[in-house]
Amino acid sequence: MSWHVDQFASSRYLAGQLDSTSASSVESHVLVCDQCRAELGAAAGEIEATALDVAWAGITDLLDRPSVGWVERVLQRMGCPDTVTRVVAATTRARFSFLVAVAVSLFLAINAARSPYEKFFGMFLIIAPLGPLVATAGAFGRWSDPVNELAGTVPTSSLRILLVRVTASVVPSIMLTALSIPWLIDRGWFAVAWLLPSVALSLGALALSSWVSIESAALTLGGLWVAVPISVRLPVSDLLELLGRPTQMVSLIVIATALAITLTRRNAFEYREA
Amino acid sequence: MDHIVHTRSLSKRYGKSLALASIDLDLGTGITGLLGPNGAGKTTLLRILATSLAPSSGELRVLGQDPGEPAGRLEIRRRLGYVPQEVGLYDNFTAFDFVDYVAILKEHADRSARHAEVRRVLEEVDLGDVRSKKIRKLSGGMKRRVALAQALLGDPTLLVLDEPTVGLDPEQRLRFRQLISRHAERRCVVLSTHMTEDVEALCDRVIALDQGRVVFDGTPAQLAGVAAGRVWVADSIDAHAIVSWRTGEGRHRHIGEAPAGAEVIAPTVQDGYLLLNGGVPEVTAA
Repeated sequence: MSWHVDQFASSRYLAGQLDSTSASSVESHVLVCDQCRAELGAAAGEIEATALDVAWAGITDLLDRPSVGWVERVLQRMGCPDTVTRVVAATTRARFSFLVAVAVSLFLAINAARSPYEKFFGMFLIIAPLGPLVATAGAFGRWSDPVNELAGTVPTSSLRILLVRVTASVVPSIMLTALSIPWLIDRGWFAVAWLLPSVALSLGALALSSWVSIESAALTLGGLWVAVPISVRLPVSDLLELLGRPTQMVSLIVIATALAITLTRRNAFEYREA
Repeated sequence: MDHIVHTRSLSKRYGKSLALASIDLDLGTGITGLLGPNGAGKTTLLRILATSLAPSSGELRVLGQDPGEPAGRLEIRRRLGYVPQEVGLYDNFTAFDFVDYVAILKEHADRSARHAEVRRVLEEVDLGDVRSKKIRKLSGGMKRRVALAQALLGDPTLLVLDEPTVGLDPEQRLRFRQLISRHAERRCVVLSTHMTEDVEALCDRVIALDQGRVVFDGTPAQLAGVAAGRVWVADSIDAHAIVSWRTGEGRHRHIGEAPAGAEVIAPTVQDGYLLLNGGVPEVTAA
């Protein structure tokens, strides 16, 4: 035998990349050469086994792939990586029951807001921001998130996980509250006067949670938010005035302060003292 | 040799209460068991080693890194597996979904490689066949194994397990021992338990804590040795005993200062541990 099929020709033949003349030559040769037939056969077997392994891994992967809800699908289409959408999914699935509770309480508040009595509209403006605040408290924390302890020991930044979870809880609760706008449209910008206080209370609780538990932080801020308007005992018109521009300005200041605290104390979120 | 865990005068306070008092430890490869009554400081120590909790004072190095520094903490967390005492799982996730979720938090970004790793750890804890079941439909023992599976992701160098055998039946505990002893050949495993038989069967070293202090540090055989000559059997209850109970054979097993002529028997790790808790004065760290 004057020649043998070399490795380059062998791999090109198996990949179907040889021209017909060269391929015929290889085939004629292996019919009479035991050595090349054995080597080509072994290489073909390896390729088939590898291809089978890849195909099987693909099928298994498809079967095991976590079921994806509509929220996650929407986020994926928006370009969010599954490293973010899975955290959102973990939050929203765990928080579904509380969102229902927020929706029911808001339904009652909206009905109160539509009442001809101004006092009820004032009550609505006080109650509405509590939904996003409760959502923040439910987004993470030792009592509300069963994986909280474990999540504090992984390489992913705890603050990042926390912000994704808070966003995943607060945004739906704000969207639920926003359903009230069509019924309150005749009140002008007052129809969204709950929005800035909502964000301020949520971010304020987040910032405070660098010192105390999120549940304690939410309870403290929520308590203050409800207790102050009740304790000053203002006439309804003055209360609505107070919940207007002054409250919006204070909310902006609280939002800016909370963001600054969260950033400067970010290490406290990553490595807990208690 | 560099220790995987190194502590000097490590202390932790919760307000005025002292949970850990000046702990000195050097742990290398192998399995170390923490024993102690409730409130002894076992969970606090494990949480500190797992970087879940910052110590109040003292020196701490884990995997050669200072967890107080962000870069060091990140390096530790990349090489750590942790099972907390109260394992929280998302009941509406499948076992696969949950471990996949933790794998994401552990920076396993490539989806195919991550799913292969999730399958591997679920197979390791014998949950491969039920990986598509919702967690709420799994038994308590299976849930513990899901928690263990997530800790094995990425083949960690340091494995911290807080009471990992609670809720496991005898067969599962045997499998757990096989799995952990296999894993510990080249790595460091620290576990807490109330079960002295786990310590006897599994650990190279045992550390007993009481009121935040190390009251014993040695091998399981040395802990059993604490009770040498202090365990005896008799046909009736003996007033000399600190602890005694009636055995299945109808005789009474006693631990304490054996009276003259007593039928002294070989002690177990449990006997040594019971004596530690009984406060026998000459018991000290080995």
